[in-house]
Amino acid sequence: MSKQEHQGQINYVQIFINKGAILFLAAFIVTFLPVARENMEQYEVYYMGLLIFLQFIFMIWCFCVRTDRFKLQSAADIIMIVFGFLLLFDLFTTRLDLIKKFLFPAPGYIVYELIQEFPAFVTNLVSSSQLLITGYLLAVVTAIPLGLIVGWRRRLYQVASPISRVLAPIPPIVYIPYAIAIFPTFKMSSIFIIFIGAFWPIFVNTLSGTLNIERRIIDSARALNVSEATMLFKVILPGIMPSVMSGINIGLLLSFILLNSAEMIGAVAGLGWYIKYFADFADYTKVIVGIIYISLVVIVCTSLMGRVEKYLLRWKN
Amino acid sequence: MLDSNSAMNKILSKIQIENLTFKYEDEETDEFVLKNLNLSIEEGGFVSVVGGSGCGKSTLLNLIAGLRKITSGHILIDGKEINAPGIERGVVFQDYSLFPWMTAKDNIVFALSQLKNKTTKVKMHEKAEKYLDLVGLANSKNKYPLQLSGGMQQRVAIARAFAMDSQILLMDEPFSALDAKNRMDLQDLLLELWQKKENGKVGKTVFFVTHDITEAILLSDRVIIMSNTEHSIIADVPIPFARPREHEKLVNSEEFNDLRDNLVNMLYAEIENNEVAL
Ligand SMILES: Nc1ncnc2c1ncn2[C@@H]1O[C@H](COP(=O)(O)OP(=O)(O)O)[C@@H](O)[C@H]1O
Ligand SMILES: [Mg+2]
Repeated sequence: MSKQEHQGQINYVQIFINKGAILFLAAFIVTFLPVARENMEQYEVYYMGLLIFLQFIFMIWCFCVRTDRFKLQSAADIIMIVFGFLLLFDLFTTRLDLIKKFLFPAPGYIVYELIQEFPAFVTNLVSSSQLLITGYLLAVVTAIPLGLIVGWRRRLYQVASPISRVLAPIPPIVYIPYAIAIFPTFKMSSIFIIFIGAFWPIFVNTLSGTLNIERRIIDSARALNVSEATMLFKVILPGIMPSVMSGINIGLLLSFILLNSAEMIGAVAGLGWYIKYFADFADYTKVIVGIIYISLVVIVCTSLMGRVEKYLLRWKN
Repeated sequence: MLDSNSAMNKILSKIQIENLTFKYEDEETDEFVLKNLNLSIEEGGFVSVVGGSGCGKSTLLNLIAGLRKITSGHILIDGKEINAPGIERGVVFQDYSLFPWMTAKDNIVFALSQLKNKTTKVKMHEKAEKYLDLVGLANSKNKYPLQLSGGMQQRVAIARAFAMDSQILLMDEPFSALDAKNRMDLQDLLLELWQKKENGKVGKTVFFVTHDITEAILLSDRVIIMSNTEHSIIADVPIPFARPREHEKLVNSEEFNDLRDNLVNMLYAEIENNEVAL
């Protein structure tokens, strides 16, 4: 008890005084240096706002993990790198103007554009997520049952296994031009590509999980006289969930890659299109804004998926 | 095989095994695990099987459960040839296979919901809790198997089999991972459930694998010894003690010890025999 209190006290101090906080101060002090790049004074406030925002998030995070020394340490390490990067970036752009302006916009200006472009981001996100969700869900609801049934039925397996061995390794990105030509609308072709991309990893992982499930699990289910459907969906599926989840995660990442690639090739809306569109105009600030928004979306999606996985696999210590 | 005499016999026995021969298909050797094994267990009987490890006790139990195809011979339950598991047979496996993604209680509820005459959800939950309580696990009902010790998992598996209330109980070393106190309690509970006869019906038939001869004698009507070399049954010993049996009194009696020494000698003779053969 007393040990815990002792530890808590030390960590409490660490939240305010640490490597991260020192670099925050350094970066903040740098903002008082004169601005070399022209027309950038008006965006100073955005950059300072970003620094304060990040430090605030960092402190909240530190407070949440205050009992875990290692998490505290790694949080400080990460924020140190972030502030260090911002400091240098700010120095080379806003303060000294040493690198090309149109390729490396000042951080304050990026933040300003990030805020300005938020409505455009939402519109494009809606368009992209319609494709992503449709294609991905289609893959999930077909690949899992098919993987289960093919793994369970020996004869089906003998037919499906050589087919999937030929088709699964084809990088789905090569389908994009053909799919765009075949399907009447871009929407349909990109849904198809996302579907194909997510389908194989989920199918292959479900299949191998089913083939390798422990015999005693099957036996104890059979001894309970379960029906075929119960065996597949209430015994095998939860039993091989770790394997299925890894397919689902790989499938999600592939979906993102494919979605953005497809949008860059043939779309008139969406996050990938947004980047391609402004790259064509050489407006690299907006390209950077697009990249930041896409990575935020990926981070949110993968961490949500991590939550789902943790819940589904809560029985595994 | 279908002459009137054996037909009569079949009606009397709950489990009838004739000339059973079995070999694992994935095994490369031609060695049979079971060879020409014959056994008949009357309805309501309690039969224990003992024998050296690897002599095929678990294999025999799994075959009666209908989990594997026999190579030749017959296994009849109520006179009917079996080729798959059935609801009339409840199994407790040697490795107490619970589903790791279900809590202790959900494992039992799931088993109950597979029964033909299933009741309401509430009733199944009540029943699951009742049997977990009987095996002393009321406080662990919402734990997952990986959070339980081996002995606790074993007790959940036993509670599941008891709750299912099937006519035939096939139990493979069900009490092996339990401490002495728990084992005694569960032996008593098993006998209690076995002897319970509802509205004139004959009680459960139990096929019980164990490596503990004392336990076999305490519980059974008959103790069967299986042999590693013969791949079959080498002795079938009736246990004459009256029921209900009193644990301590019986274990300390002379008759009990004589019988146990007798069985131990038979078993050791067989195991030594086997070692010489090897
Ligand atoms: N799944 C299996 N595949 C192949 N051989 C097996 C399998 N299970 C058991 N055996 C073999 O069958 C024999 C009997 O095993 P088992 O029935 O488990 O014995 P016991 O339960 O009496 O210890 C052993 O020689 C064992 O190696
Ligand atoms: Mg065994």
